[in-house]
Amino acid sequence: MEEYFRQIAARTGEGERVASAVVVSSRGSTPQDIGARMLFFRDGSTWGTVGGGCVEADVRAEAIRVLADGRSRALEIDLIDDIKGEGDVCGGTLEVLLESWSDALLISP
Amino acid sequence: MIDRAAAVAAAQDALARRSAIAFVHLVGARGIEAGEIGIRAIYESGQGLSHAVATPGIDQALARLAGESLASGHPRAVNLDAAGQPVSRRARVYARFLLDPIMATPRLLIVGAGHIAVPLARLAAVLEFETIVVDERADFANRERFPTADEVHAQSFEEFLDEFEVDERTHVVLVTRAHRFDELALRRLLGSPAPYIGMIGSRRRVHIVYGTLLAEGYEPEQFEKVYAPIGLDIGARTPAEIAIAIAAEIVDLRRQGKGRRLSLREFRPEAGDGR
Repeated sequence: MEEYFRQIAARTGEGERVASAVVVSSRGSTPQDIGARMLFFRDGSTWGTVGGGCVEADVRAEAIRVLADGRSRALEIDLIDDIKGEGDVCGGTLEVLLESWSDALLISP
Repeated sequence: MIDRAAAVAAAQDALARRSAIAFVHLVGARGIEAGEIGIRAIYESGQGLSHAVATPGIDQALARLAGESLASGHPRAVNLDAAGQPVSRRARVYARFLLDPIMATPRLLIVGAGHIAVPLARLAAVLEFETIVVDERADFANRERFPTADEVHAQSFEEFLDEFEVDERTHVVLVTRAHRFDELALRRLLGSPAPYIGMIGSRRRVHIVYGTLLAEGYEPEQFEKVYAPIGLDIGARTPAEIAIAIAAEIVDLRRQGKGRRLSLREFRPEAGDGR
């Protein structure tokens, strides 16, 4: 938790916008930890995890939009149970809150 | 309107003090004008919400739920109607919130630096606990034996425990070499807010320690957080296995687990399956 906020403070302190993702709820065959968190930075790097391959691509795509427009939003991801297909083995629904963090004094809205 | 940089600073400040706060986030709303999605207030016990969020009913409910979330240590999502009553997601009118406790890294204080402490300190590091080891024997309590520990103190148990502040995020494991050391450590820990005080020893040794302390006037209720003999029952024998049993008990407690196997006997595959 200390490192999560240290990362946000360091990046926003340099005028950068940071997007965070926090798991709000999950249902189905791949229960994620509520409160699991991940950060997305402008340079494409990340910190933490919200639950691996099945969901991270969707979350990352939305986080890129948050980094672009600075608007926080909620995201619900339907995880298709793909056990017979070629994808990852996931199922259920994951709800993620994406937030934009910036230092109001350093960044113009 | 909450300032986000100030919210981050408040979180860092609380973590540095090893105190806890909760972030109150709006996740969405239906039929209610609840404003912007994202962090809307900070809750601190004794202080309430830092900012008004929605209706007085909602704010009152949020303060109560945030307090509960802090006490349990678990984040929670909730839908509230305009009066602050919890409703299902099928309701026509609600605002959805995430109550997110911001808590310091959990600690594991290992009292006694013997053969169980070594694998236990390594497991604690893997589990991302801040790990502290104490033993008066400097040839046991040293960096070489505990390379992953955050702090290693070669100091008498009394002296260390009289100074060290055990908080509600500090799990304690008593693995000293004799029950008189467990006893003197336990005496100093019974009034602490530690969520877990595990004590090694046979049932007999545990009974001796309990008996001595009760005779000294300690009340049975004060032993509520004492787990002895220590660990989940996995048949552990070696120091590493015992360390795993202890670590598993701590995880089980933190996650409110059931401490049993997950495998389902009725789902055991049989010959002929998959045809």
